[in-house]
Amino acid sequence: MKQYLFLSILLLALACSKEDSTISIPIEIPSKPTTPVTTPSNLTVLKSGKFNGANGYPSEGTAQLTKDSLDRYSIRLAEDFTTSFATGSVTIYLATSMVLKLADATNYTKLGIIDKKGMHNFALEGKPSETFSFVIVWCQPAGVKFGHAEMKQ
Amino acid sequence: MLQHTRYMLPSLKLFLSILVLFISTSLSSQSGWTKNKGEFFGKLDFSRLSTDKYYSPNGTALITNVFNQNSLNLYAEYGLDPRWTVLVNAPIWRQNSFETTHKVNGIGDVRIELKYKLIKNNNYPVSISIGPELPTGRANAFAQSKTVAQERINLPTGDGEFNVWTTLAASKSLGKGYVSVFGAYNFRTTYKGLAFEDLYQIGGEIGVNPIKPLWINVKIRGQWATGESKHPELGFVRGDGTTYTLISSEAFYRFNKQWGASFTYLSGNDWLAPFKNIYIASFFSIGLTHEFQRKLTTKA
Repeated sequence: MKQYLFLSILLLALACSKEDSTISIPIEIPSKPTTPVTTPSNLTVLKSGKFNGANGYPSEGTAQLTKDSLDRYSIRLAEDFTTSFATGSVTIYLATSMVLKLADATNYTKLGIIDKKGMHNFALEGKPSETFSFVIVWCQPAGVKFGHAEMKQ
Repeated sequence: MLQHTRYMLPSLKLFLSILVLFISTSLSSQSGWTKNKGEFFGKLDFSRLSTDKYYSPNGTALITNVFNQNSLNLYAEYGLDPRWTVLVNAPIWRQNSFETTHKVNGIGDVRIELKYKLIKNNNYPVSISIGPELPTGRANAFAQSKTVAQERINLPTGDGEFNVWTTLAASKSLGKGYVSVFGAYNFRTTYKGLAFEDLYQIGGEIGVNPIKPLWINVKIRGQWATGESKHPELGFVRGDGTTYTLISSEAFYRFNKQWGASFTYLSGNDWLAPFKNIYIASFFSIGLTHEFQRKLTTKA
């Protein structure tokens, strides 16, 4: 009986000790896991920017204008890219403004349709004009912007 | 006379399910009255919503492509005894689309509700109801774009999760009219591990009976969420964090003892709660009602 009593007191003491030590040690917890962005060695990043959500829909990650060793240009969404895919597919545009004006085709280039987060690559026909610096995430069926990234050098 | 109030409620329920696609509410039990034993009331209701006014999850008002929804709702209530009434709300057909997409169809989430009269006095009855809502609707229904096949949008006919409405309601007779107030809480669970914010509502209703076969009522209701959605990426797909204020007016006319019709105008504003994560428009619904009293055998 005494052995049990001693064991109980010992366990209680250890428990208190553990709790005390936990309180005294500052623990740094990252608020959100981040996906590292890597760029293949054959690509040169000319411009890049981070996505911001729009209209209450989150969009996160990195957009890049890249050039490969054969002087081919592309828009690259990096591994950390994500948006509101629960609603379905999204259409990616390269545009001259953060406001997508679909009525004026000179203001944008449609890059593609995606339905998964992560890395995506959209080949361009040539080097885009300097004014085309916005990558826009667009919910085409509803006509709602989910976010954009402004790419800078 | 005041038994009537129980009939007036389902169409506003339908309005809600249309506006937020699938979020069911507890309007069917939002009066203090219950049915008499063996008494049945049923209603088949049709509504069509067409709107381009969308309030995003953070409350931003947007003009989008036009969203359309057709909905056929079956509602029934039956008195088990003077205190207990069972209510069933079954959205038997939902058709959703944008003007840019093809249509998707399905049933909605069915709710089976048990209502208990806490205070039996018919002049000021108080009731409580528990209404589990089953995820019988299509949790994912992707509508394809009419022009580009790869483009699609999720327009589910159900929210995909099990949830339970609990409603406390009180009513008061006022000569040729009545007034009801209620408070309701929706305990929401999870869909694929994603937990949703609970919802709560407060509302009231005033009804008058100007001529014998006709009842007219006006209702207001606000819905709030217990917090901001932790999953804004879901958007309107699961109705997480949806808030609104609704007003409606309904006319219910009895052709005879068994058959009747209702006509409801519904709209919204921000008097109580602001709009968040919701498509909204003013619109009408029409319904056909049927009621009877089952003959009960009595012991000699």
